[in-house]
Amino acid sequence: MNPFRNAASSTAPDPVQLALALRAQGRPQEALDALSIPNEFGADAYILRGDLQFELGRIEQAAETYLAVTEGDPDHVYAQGQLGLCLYRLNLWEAAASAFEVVIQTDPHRDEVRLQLADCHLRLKRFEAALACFDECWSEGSRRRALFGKAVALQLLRRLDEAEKLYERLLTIDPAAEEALANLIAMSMEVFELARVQKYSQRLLEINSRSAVALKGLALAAIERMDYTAAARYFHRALELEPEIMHQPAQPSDAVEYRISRKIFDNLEETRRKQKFKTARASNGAQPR
Amino acid sequence: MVDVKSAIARLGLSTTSSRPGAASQIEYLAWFSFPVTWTYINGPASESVSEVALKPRLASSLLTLSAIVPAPLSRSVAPLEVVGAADGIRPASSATRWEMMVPKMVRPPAKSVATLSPAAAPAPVAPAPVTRVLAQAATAKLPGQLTPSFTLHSAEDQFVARYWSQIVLAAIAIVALGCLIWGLSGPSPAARSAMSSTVNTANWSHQPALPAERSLTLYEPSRGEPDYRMEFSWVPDAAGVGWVFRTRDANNYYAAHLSLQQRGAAGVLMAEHFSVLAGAESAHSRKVIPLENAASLVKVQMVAAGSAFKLLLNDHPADSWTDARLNTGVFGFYDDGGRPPKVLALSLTFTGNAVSRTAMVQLP
Repeated sequence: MNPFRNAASSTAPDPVQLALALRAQGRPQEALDALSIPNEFGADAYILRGDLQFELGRIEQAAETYLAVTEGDPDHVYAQGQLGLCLYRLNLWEAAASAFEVVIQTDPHRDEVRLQLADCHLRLKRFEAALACFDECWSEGSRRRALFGKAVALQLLRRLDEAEKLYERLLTIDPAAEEALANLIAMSMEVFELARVQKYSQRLLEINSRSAVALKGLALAAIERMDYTAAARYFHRALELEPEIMHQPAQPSDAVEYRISRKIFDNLEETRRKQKFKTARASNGAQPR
Repeated sequence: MVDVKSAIARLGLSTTSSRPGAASQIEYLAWFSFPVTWTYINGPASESVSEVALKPRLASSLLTLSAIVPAPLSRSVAPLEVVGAADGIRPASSATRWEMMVPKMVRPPAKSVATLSPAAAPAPVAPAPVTRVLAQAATAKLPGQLTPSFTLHSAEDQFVARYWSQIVLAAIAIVALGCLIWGLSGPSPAARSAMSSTVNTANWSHQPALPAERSLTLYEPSRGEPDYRMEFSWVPDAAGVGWVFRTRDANNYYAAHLSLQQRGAAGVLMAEHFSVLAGAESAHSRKVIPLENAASLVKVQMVAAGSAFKLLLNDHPADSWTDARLNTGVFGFYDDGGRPPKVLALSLTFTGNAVSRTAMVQLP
């Protein structure tokens, strides 16, 4: 006889079955409540509990639940993967990477997990490790993202020529990959090649007319060639989309930064005023002197 | 002209702040930031071929986290962000051009089929506790690479291709027959030893203890173990959970107890430990521990290492003490008055003999 078992369980419905039924009815909270009673649960109940917590956005609790399963069975691939996802969502990159690594060790064919692991490596600034992860991706389903990831890793390793080639290759496959163009703009900014900044910004703007990155790139290229008319136009469009550009970044970051002085800013404002004035006069039918 | 072209920043190169001379004289009003981002890799897979998502495995047994069998979980309510799920939806805006790609045929090293395919493995007869195996040899490359063959089929190949299913069935039957014969002949002493270390449902003993009305439920395989780490989950209640360790006999043991003193959002736990030596129970050392959520499971861990004992609750140190009077002995639970504690997922890690081993222990 097991003295730890619940005597009441013989009459009450099985909490796991009840939880599954409630979940199927779209009642995840009640399903979770059904599993939150004192009882002796197996790994399946823990997994279900973790999934429900995950669905309900209780990521920390879900992580604890999956962790309980993985502590009992470190090779539980699903629990490890979900634990990794939770930790990733909690910005615990190191711990998430560890969980993903366990999954990869158990099942090396999981490119989705490999991509997540590579993402963690990038955030941990382990660019070589990230590059290796992206290199190991083999599936067709991950090809574009691995290609993009490789380009990012190479860019962060300052192997810029190789990175640019990969971005271009990706853009051949997926011309709508805005982020590739945005990173190419950042790369061009890093070496301050204005012609490339202009080129990639223009391409990005053709894909997305509301891309703040493209507008900023075009604005600064125009500023550099002292075309304040174009610069003012792009600058104010960028400002509408990203008002934060008027605030100094609170946190230091690794991002390439281009700052605009009061003198340039006043030039842009003056140019804009003149443009507005001209436009107003033109619309009123007055002839400029 | 722009006053500062701070097109430098990353990887140890100086940012704008590294130019204090220029920066201190110029007033800036706008900042263009160009970060390198990589959200694309977490976006939906836009390729047409998707990977097969691994289904979660469900355990078939209560009280242990082992004996997993594959079974699907309903995921119809909300799109869960499942690892391994890759869709094949192509963005509508993607006017994809063609690019000639050479298929990458070399896969990463794989584990053997037996470990990857639970369905192919023989089903466990009984829910067996899991012995934790430390992941090692992570870099070991197994010969799991697939090499495509472009040769024409020989006659033998055609035979295999035509009758492969029958061949597989015959192989399975032969293996099953072999296992049956092997099983009837009895396992080797080594195998018996391995079994005894994993299948331990009958490893609990019950005995009355002093003081009167106390009974001990002891996990016999821990007898002789000096050091161990015990872990279980517990639903906090007023009756609490009590456990014994370094139990020499019914009159000599250490004990600890946890109970819920106050329910609600700001729950309070009482942790106590004491010893019984020659039948005499010592004074209880008590400690009040605030609990964030009295409604949820509490992970209880206790480490016994030499004369030092540590109690952790939800991975946070809760209490520690030393006592050198009992050096070795059995782990178990105690109850005063027949109310068994409600504990889940008990695991024990024995650390005293140089090699650490962990067992998920089925409760008695």
